Amino acid sequence: MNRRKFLGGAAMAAAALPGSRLAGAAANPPVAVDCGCDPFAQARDASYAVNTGSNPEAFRGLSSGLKITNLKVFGVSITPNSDRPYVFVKIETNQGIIGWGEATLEGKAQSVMSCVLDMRDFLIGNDPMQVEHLWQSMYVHTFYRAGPVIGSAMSGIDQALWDIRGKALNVPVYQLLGGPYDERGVRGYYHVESVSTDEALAELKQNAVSEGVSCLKVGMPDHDYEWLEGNAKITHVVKYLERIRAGLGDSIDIAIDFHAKMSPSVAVIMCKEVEPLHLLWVEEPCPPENVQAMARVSRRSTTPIATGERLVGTYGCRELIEMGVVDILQTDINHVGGISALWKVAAMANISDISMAPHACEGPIGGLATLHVDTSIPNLLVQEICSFVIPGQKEKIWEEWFGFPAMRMVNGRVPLPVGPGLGFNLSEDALAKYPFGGTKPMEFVYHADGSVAAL
Amino acid sequence: MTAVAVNRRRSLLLAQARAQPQSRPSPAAAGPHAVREVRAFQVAASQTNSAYVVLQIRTASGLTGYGECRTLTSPELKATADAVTGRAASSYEVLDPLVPPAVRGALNMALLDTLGKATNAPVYRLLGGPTRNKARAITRLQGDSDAQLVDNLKKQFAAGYRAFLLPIPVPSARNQGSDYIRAAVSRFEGMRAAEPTADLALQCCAELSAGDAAALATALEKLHPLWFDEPCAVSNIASLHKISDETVVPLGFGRGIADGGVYQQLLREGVIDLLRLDVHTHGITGMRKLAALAETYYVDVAPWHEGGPIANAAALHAAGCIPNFYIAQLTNPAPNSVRDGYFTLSAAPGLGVDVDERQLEKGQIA
Repeated sequence: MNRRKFLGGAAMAAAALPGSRLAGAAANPPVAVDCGCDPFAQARDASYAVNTGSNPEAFRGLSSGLKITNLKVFGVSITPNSDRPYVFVKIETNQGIIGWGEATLEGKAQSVMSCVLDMRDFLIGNDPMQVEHLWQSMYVHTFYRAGPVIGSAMSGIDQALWDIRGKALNVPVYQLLGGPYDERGVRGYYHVESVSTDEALAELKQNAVSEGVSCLKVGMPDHDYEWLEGNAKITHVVKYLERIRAGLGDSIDIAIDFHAKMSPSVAVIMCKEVEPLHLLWVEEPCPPENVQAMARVSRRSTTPIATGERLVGTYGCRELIEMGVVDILQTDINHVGGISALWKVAAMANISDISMAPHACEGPIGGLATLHVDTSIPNLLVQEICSFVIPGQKEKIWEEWFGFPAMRMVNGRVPLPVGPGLGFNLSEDALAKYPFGGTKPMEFVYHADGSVAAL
Repeated sequence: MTAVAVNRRRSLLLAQARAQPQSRPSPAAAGPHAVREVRAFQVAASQTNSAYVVLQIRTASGLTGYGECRTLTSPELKATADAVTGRAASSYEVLDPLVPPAVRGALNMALLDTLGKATNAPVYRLLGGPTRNKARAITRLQGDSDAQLVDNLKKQFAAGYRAFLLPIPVPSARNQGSDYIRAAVSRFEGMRAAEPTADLALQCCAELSAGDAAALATALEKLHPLWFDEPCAVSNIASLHKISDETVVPLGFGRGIADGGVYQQLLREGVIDLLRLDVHTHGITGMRKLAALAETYYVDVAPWHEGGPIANAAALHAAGCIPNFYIAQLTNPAPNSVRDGYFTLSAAPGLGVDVDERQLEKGQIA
């Protein structure tokens, strides 16, 4: 039995939540007087019981009539060694409406699949329309709040619940969010595959222009950077970016991903040096978990700074937003907490005049879900498409799954998904061709002396 | 202009630019629920309400949605109609920056009301709720003297309210002394004695200096008021610090604040414990956004307004979809609508308000 079948089977075998057990508890919840560290306390005194389930009964009069009946999780490896097998979440209801979401977490596939299933018993029996309520419960009742594993699991569940709500109300999700800003779709950018030669750069420009692409993102030219760097590496990066600007011209916006490979000390020198190139942004100039360090980079250069793909929840973005540290937030719908959290982050960012360029480097469901938010927020800059100007095999697989070229641009815009909910149909059979290959780590990168470098 | 105001203006201009389609969207693109007609009706002030305006949206599909705002001029109504006619009623976010600020809250309510009716769902369900099954209620105590206030407390307690905004004595001049503080404490103690289980918040309407507000709050600390509402005007953050540094009584602000950047600054500075969101100013979506901001500071929102039943409904739908809602101050809600301290949530589609159009007709804004 492969891993996906095993997880799916285990999911179906679990017992339904005994909601009736909680009927009294919801009205008059028992009080736990300590932290619950004595597992025998409950056996000694029944009144000591803590509520370990959900409370759908509390909403009896206000229920939509829909109930979550099942939750399945799928690990999907489109190559056997993929470091980011797609983690898809499927939620089923008592009225036949199903919802899909994505919980992919690079390098930690099995952790997040298990975490999704950890939430299963809680979710079953609840009204799937109450996504805000369920989101809060998943976040707050997890006690440790959310890091990337819990955040990604919640993201997959949240997206699936929005899919269900849109389908139940027979409207696309972007209509629930007050969009669309533009019927033609969402401005996107592709990654740059190779610019090793001037010919390759010229061909890239030609292809981009003919496809109507207005923005591209490039990676760093070096394998690793020390926390302090001298003239050689700094000049190498600057020359590399100058060559790209010269090759692509001024009318294509260029973003560069530092991928948090540098220290703030080195990053800010780079950002200062490349100011004359008027880049759209420098992404993750330094590691992301220290806001003061990021602020130190952004305050010393006019080059716009983008970051945020690794942040979870509005809580995780608050300091960056309130300090007005960055120009652009790259919140990832598969980690931040789904559509609910991405929308809130965008609303908060707008108050600080920060633009949104949502990250999307995992599977297609998260990408399609992001489009619904993109077209419904006033501060969208551009949507990431983790793909190249010329599509490859991955895009063929996505098209085979959905029946349309998901996350591909037409005249520089990604068309909005069509139909209620997230706007696609997906069958379990379509995914079966790409069984789960297990968790595979992300790249390991070391300095010349064997010490650890950022990937 | 402050940096925040400049930023807001720029964001708005960019949003407007994005919201203006290259060409007018075709009727087909706007879908069956395209806005066909926008009307507005002036409602006169009464003993219980300030004057306000009812906005009515009609769609090509025959749906009607209602919203409320404080004022609306004829040119503003025309600008609103020009901006939204022919556009999808569901595109409430897109249309927001295209209409005059005075009508934004009302348009948001009316469009969400329409979308709810189109999808046969109460507005809180459209927006991911319910997050609660009832909404905590607070009401303002009426009266000038302590005796009148006690009478009113008993009357409103019997009617089902359990939380009350208690007006503090009106100061006679700047910089109050011991008499004033004692009078305020005595008023509060009188209320506590009359209804020991009632929760009391202090209502001030920004009539005090920051120093007096701090002294009064400190004197009342041990009586545990729910919060101190609008202790002074929000114009100088340093003076708000004077209050929040000197007392642990929670502070509520919001009257007259339209800009999210101001709330952000109050939160960042740690001088606000409750966002008093004006339903007319922010609409439901504006309240959701500000609540999302406040959530990350572990601060709740408490909607209020001085209008009519549509804003009442909007406040309760916001309560029903916002996780960090605390309490709603409605204006002249229907008799018997509060039970044991809570308002009930409507299960009807949209905002769930029945509007008698004939009552409104005579106030139609041309």
